[in-house]
Amino acid sequence: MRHLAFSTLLLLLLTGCKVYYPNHTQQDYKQADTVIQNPYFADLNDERLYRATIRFYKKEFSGMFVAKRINQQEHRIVLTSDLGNTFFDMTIAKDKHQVNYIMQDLNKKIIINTLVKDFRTLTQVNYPITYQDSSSRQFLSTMDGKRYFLNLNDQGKLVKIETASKYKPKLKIQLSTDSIGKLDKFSIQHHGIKLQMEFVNIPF
Amino acid sequence: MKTKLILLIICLFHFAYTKAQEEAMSNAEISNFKQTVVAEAQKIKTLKTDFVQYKHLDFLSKEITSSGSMLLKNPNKLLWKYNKPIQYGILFKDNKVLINDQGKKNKVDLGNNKKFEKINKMIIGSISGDLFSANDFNITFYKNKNQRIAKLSPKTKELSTYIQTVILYFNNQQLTVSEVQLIEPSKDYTKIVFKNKQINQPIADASFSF
Repeated sequence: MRHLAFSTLLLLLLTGCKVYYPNHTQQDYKQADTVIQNPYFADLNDERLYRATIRFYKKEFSGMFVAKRINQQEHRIVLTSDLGNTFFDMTIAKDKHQVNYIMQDLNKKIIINTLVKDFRTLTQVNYPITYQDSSSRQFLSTMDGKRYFLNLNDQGKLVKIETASKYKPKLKIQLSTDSIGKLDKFSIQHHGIKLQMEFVNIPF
Repeated sequence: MKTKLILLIICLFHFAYTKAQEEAMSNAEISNFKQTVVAEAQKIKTLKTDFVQYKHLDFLSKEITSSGSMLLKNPNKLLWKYNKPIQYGILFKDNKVLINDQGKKNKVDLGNNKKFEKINKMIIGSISGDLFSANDFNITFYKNKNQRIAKLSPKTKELSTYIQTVILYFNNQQLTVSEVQLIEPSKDYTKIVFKNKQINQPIADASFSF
């Protein structure tokens, strides 16, 4: 009887914990060995300004956002208020980061770690691919135990980056370009916490 | 020819040096300057000005430029209205903060906290020169050929985590501020240059709304 209960529990656990694949199942993927480039923050001379709106639970605030690749390894990420004062200013590399400034109210480890992870995913230039789906529009990159799903549109442009643990989606970044292929709008949406960030390009 | 060129270079450098050169005001000058600025500030009932705001971030090749107008009506009414690069307004009225972000009104804003309000009070004080009477800062005074300059460092740790120094520039004998520079602890700064200043021209209360 005890054995039966254990087996049932095990069965329930196994069927409940399906490995997460957005819009697909594991069978739809085949092995691949390629690299997808995220071109939007890859150019060392590119300076674009975005209007940011950030919603965190019931709080909402807005400001000016800049992300710039400052050398081969690092990006500088800054958000300021409309009145000019800096909310945060960080330098982010693949395995490390540096907080150049952060407003006292935001200076909490959990906030900094979330921002670093989000903007690292947004600005990472190369994603090594290990699997791709049959349509060759969705790619899976696995790095440091994290899974990154990258979506290309019909024109081959990167339009979505989704991060997931083995079983759950974590973060969704949606990207859209203007007529010359520059990043015009993007959004970062969390699944676990109620944090959503939207960015729209403005003249600079 | 070579000597002439060297002389020309020396002259140019000398000119640039003189222009930028700041010297500390004497005690008598400070006292006189403070007195006249504070007296002028006390006369301000309304102030209307256009402004251009430059946000300097060291790693960018150019500054982030915003512009708009500012209305002040004493006591307790202040409106910053940005027209470029986006339509954005922040209204301080009767101890409330209202925001109009491209038509979206009355949002809860991160800026809507006491510390941020303090910074904004500091900005109002900067424009009117009223800051000189505040006890929150250590102030030093300088002058150059065309400007009188006040440099304010916050005394409290709370404020100095946001702003390292506020520099107020008074152009050509003017008694209200022509330019404010807010230097952050990281050395990046925001510079606000005021243009078309009008003092004590009537401003309807209705202007302080969205």
